[in-house]
Amino acid sequence: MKPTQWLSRLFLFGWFISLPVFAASDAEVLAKRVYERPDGDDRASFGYMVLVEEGHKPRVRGMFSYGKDKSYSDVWSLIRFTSPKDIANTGLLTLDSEAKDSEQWVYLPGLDRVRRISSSRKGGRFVGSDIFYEDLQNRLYTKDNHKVLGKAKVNKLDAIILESIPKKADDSAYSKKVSWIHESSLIALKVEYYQDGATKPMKRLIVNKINKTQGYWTVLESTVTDLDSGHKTIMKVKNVLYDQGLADDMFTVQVLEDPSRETKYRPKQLEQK
Amino acid sequence: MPGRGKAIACLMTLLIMNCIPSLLFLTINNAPEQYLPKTQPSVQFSDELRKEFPEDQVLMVLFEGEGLFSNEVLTKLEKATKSIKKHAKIDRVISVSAVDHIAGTADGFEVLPLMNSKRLRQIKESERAAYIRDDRFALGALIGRQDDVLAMVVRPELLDDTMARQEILDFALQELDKAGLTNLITAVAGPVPLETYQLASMLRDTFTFVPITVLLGVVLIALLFRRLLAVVMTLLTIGGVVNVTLLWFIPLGQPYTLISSMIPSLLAALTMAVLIHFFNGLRLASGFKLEGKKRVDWALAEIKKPATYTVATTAAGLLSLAASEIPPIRYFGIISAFGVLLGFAIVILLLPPIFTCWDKASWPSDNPLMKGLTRTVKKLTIIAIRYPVHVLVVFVIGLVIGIPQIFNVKAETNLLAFFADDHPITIATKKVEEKLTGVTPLEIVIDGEKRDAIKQLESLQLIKKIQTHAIEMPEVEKAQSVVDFVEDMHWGFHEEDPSYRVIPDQQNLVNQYLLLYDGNDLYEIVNKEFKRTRILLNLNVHSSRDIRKVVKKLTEYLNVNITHDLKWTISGYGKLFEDQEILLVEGQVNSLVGAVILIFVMMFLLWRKLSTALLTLFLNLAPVVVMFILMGLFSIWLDMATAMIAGVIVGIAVDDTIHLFHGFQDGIKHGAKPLRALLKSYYQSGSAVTVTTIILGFQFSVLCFSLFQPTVHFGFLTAAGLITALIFDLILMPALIVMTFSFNK
Repeated sequence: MKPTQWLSRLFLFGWFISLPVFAASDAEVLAKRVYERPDGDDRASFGYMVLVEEGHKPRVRGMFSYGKDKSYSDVWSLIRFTSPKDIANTGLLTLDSEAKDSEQWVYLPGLDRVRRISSSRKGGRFVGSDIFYEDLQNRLYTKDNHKVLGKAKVNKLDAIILESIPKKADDSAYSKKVSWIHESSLIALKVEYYQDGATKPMKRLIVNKINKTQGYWTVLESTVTDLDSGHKTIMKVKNVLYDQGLADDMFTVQVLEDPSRETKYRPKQLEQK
Repeated sequence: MPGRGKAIACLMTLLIMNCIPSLLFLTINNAPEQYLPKTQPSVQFSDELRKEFPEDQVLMVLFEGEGLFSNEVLTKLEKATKSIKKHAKIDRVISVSAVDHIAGTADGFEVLPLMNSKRLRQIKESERAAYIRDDRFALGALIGRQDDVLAMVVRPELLDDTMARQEILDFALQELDKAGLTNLITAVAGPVPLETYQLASMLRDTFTFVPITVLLGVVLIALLFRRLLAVVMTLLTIGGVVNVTLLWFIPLGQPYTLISSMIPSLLAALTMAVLIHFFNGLRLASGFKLEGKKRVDWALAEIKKPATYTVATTAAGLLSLAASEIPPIRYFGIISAFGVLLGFAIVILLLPPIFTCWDKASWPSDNPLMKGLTRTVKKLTIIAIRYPVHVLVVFVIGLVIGIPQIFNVKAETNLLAFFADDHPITIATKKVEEKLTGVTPLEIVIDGEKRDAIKQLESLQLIKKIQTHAIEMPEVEKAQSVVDFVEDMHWGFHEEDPSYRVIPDQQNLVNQYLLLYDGNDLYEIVNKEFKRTRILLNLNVHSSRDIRKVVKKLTEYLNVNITHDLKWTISGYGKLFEDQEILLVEGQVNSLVGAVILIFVMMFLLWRKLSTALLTLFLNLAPVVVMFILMGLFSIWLDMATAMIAGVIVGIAVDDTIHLFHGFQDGIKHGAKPLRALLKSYYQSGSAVTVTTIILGFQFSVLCFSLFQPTVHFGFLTAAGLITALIFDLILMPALIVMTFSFNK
């Protein structure tokens, strides 16, 4: 090999390895790492959604939740409520892809019918909680501009503060998100959500409990608080299973409208106790 | 020279009192919340309600013109909606771009903004009006029935401050201007602008009429007494009294309201009355060739006792308003009573050293105006003494003819009627009501015993029944309830088939619809516990009397129809307004009774004789009766602005009686025969009380030139009451004295 070839290869190699440094800022690298955080090819869990309003008894809803990463940007999920009785079997299917907007369907057992939910309803509250439909969707990190604001501790854990602002204002319910990213697990321990360019956040997510299950960092409990009304939504994961090889056809409208077809995919370990 | 030092000290004190720009320190606030006590059950319920539900006092902007449904206008509207929402004190901006719309499609269902930029791309311009009108929440609220108007509703956070509401109004209009929509705005109405217009009117009246009334009084004093020192001292005394009195609002934690805006004019007039008596004393003393301290002492001795009593009775009349449960009226009474006492203190304590030191020249006694007045008073007194029975008969006939008018007096407040028919707020409100819906909000609050009580089919059906009944009432133009959401969800999930726009018959399905509803608007009408809900009504009536009729009809209906586990309460702006009216009438009665008792006690202490006390009391109640006759005759309602006039009139009118009767009694005490004592008193004090009343009458009459009806009514009724009281004192009193006293002694 000629010295010039060596030199050019060396140059190209040097350029290649320095590419991330030049092409993306630290913030984008961090956002990418968070997006790509290992969470298995698929996951299934049973947990509770607890709605808390000051002065009232909490409302508790049991639910199974399934997710599958079909590709880098195509993520599928299915949520099936199990309690209370009057909403049991109500389900939500979400198919996210980079190519088109998220597709969502809902199944109402009272109506025994599946209906499509408008994909642009990002700011809609999922089943009256403080979680928006957008929070349930897979948002590609490339849709936002990111900026590292500094470092801080959250619950004694080291975190990097990452600000994310949508590149296109109308493709998000939020005008800004500020996340406190746990350095080792890459989990956002705290997120503050801003709307309509306001200077104060409208809601806050706090992760209360994380654990490593099957080698994956897992959020076991988190709280979303509406900072205006004080209303809270606590998400608790009781059992979780990764990489069971969930079938593609589980994430279909047919399964959504026939809960009996979904129950066969429920791992025994996850059964409601 | 100690006398000079004292005079300088007094002058300095007066100057300092004038240097306090009190209005700069006051909280100016005429918000409706100020007019009801916090202890009022409806206020407490309303406060509790507002913790869960948003404010019902809003600002409505009406848009009309070409291309209302074009991309350009709707995009501008969406932009303005977003930019107005950014204001920290604005809770929500409701426009077609920011209101939830429940819709169904062939395979789907959605809750989306009714007409935002995305919808613009989906729906043709020619179809947009019909599309918006088909939304039952938008019709009559955001779009007119003729598709010729669009509206925006700006809802502030819970505010109880007029200045904050003014800020919101200004901000909204500024943002609409930035968005290029100003040329399409044809009306700005609702409780927010109504209140800000009231604030503007009351401030304008304060800054216009206080200087005018003071100037008028000063001119009359200059004409009557022709003494520069008297003119300067009048200005300094009135300035000091008004400034220092208004400062009392600060430690008492009270705002400057529509009611308190009448204090400066009132105090200016009352202080001037005391000053006139003092100046008249000086003039008389000067006529007796007295000078310096002797002249001032003589004048003081002459007026001290009657002035003390007149001031005490005026203060008592005003203080009687403390019986009102409406805070601005109560503090109007307390603070203005303090002002009257302060004015008297200044005249008695600060002015004598000043006049002793600097009032050297003699006072002119050849004033033709005074002479003319004295002649008229003499003539009237002689007629009354000669023909007492005739005078009494005329008086009784007058009362008999007039009294039926009292039954025409309505206890009614209509905030819109405070403004002229061509005032922008009146025109704007009429336009909104003509094109959209009524602007007076009223709400029926339904409470269940347990969580999810409102979700129950039985509850929903009952709410639907109440809503249907309400909308059939001619005063109710729009009614919204949780049922609308449930029905629209059912309709949306069935491809917008009209036969499904009903309450579903399965409880589970209702629960699932409500679980799935993902907008925010539902939770403005029902709480997240589904234990409390509101039926929102838009009334096309504004007066408390009409609102009361609606409340009464609804109460009767709800009493009969809500029999199971649900409880109901009528609340909202309209209800508070109606409650305020009840307190107003109760306060008027309490204040009048209080004033009568207080003044009777004072009269008894002064005259030490029951019959005399009753006679003078009767003479001073008569002007109040005349005031009510005039109210009935001229259709002036008993409202927020007129509620305190009876107390004011009783308090002021009694002054003339005291001066004249005191002179009569003093004459008798000094050995004069009754007839001589009566004539002497009327010759000596008659012209002074007449001059005082004329000046006060002029000052209050000037208020009739205001464009703001409360100021006009206050000025007219007070002036009429004072002049009536003077006529009764000059004619009826001597007649009654002649008939009741033994003149043969």
